[in-house]
Amino acid sequence: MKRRLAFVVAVFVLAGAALPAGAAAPTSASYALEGEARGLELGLGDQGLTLGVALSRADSKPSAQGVGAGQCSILGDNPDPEQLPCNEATAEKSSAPGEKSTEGQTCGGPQVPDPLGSVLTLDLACGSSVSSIANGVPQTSNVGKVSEVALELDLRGLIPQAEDAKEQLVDQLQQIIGGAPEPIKNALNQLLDAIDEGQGAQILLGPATSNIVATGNSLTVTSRAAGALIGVAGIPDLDDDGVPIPGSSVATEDGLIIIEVGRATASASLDRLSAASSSEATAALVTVKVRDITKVKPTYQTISLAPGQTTTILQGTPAESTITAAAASSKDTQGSAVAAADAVRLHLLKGVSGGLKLGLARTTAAASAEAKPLAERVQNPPKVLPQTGARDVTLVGVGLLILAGVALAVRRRLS
Amino acid sequence: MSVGRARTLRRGLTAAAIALAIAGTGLLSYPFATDLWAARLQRGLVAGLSASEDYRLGKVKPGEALTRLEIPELDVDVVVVEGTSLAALRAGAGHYPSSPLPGKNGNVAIAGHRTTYGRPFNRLDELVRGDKVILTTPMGRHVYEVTGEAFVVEPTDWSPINEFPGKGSFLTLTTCHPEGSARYRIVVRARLVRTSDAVAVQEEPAA
Repeated sequence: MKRRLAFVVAVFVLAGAALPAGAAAPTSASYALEGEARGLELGLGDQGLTLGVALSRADSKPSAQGVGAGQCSILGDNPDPEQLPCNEATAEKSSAPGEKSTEGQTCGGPQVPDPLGSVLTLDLACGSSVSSIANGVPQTSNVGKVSEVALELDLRGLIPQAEDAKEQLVDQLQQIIGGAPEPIKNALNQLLDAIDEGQGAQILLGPATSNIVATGNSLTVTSRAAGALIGVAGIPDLDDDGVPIPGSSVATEDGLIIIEVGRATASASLDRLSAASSSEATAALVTVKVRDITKVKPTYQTISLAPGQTTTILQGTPAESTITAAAASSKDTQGSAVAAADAVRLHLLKGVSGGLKLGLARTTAAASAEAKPLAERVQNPPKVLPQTGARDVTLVGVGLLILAGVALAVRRRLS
Repeated sequence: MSVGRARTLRRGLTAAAIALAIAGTGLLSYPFATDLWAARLQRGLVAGLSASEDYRLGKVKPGEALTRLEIPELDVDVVVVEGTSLAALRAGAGHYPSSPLPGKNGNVAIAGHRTTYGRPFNRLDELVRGDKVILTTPMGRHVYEVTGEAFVVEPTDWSPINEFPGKGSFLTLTTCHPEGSARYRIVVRARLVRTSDAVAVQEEPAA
């Protein structure tokens, strides 16, 4: 009798195993991440613009929030994603739970008020933002970009000042390009005749991105500014008679000064279970090129800047420009990781209406986390939506009935 | 084989056949048994729907009747209880306690069984844009309109409950997916299109 009872119990245990069972896994630590990338901050006189902005935020509530914008006005430190002063036609916002980005990418023509608008030509500006919560983990992906910026600076104002400072300019160029004074002076005279036909400044700007991505138990915020190529004082081609050809200048290819700003990255990661965090940052590398104006084909002398280093070229002349290469820093403490790559700062053509101020490739990323006590983690399995469907046990039931029939058939054969 | 051993074997086979038959019959009849259980609970719940004071004060306890849910397209008519615990959901459908009451701003969320306990959400995936879902409470009759096709999410994905598109009153219905499995959840979204004053809700639901 005991054996029969044990057998029946075993059958019911096996059948019970076929029915749904709940699952348990540890929940995460409480955490928060935020990141920001700015492609270009541009100041001319009293006016300013920020082009290419990406912001990301996430925490363990869980919630995720992001903004991608092509054009904004000047942003302060730690801007509120809800109240960014951006051109809405170029911006996309998303948050989860909450507002979902529906169009994927929003692009529009930038709106720049005069007088900046009268000298600045911007390519289409775009922003995209997607935020989601999957399996209780927040993620967000944001991009802001303006691919091209052209500045029609009135370089005619440069000519009389340059005439006054011609000797100084010749000395400066001689130091950089190493040519003889007389050919430089001749070339400079030719350049000053042609310069008002050239392009004031052109900036080819890479996108700014800020993403929060989950991989296993790890969450990483990465902010990246893809760098830029800046050309200043474009020098037009000359026809056979030595007359400058209007519209033939592309400042990033033939400018008096060309500045290459590399990619800047800041990232911070945390482990959702252990709350361990880490960060790293890479500042943008800067290369300054000064054109050898004695040569018809664009030929450049290159100056490389170390992180944090400042250099001033064509000092004392109207074309004086100061470039400060960015420094990167990261700091990891218990439960907190912060990384930042400062902006590359440029003050170009100081002699032309106070000059053009640029800040490029500024990125920040921060993560903080606090582990929950182990006991709390074990006691709180991840929340699962109500279970409203049992495993289909019809086939199991039919199978058991067939087995019962087989057992009876074998029994009869033994009789 | 000796006579004694053969007898023991026959007895063993008899016991096994009986046990297997009981287990098999039990498994086959499990869904029907849960349906009967849910129908019995539903009969008792109808009377509870008239307790408008508890409803108005938000004092409806887990397992007590909260609202009547009708989906004409699917011939569903069931009383929804407060709560989504296993015990509460034996009535067939339960209201997520974290979500607002029917007709209120926000996302009203209701979970329902798909293959057992009356199977009120068995054909939830057949709902299409424009289909009506009606919630009748002691305070009023709220007509929601399905906003799109059903979609599938992970069982740990609470975004359909926590997220909703902007201001207004929404309704989210969830059940397990695929049919006969609890691997995923299938979700249907609806938006409040009309509210009218309280009507009699004591008539026994069909489900």
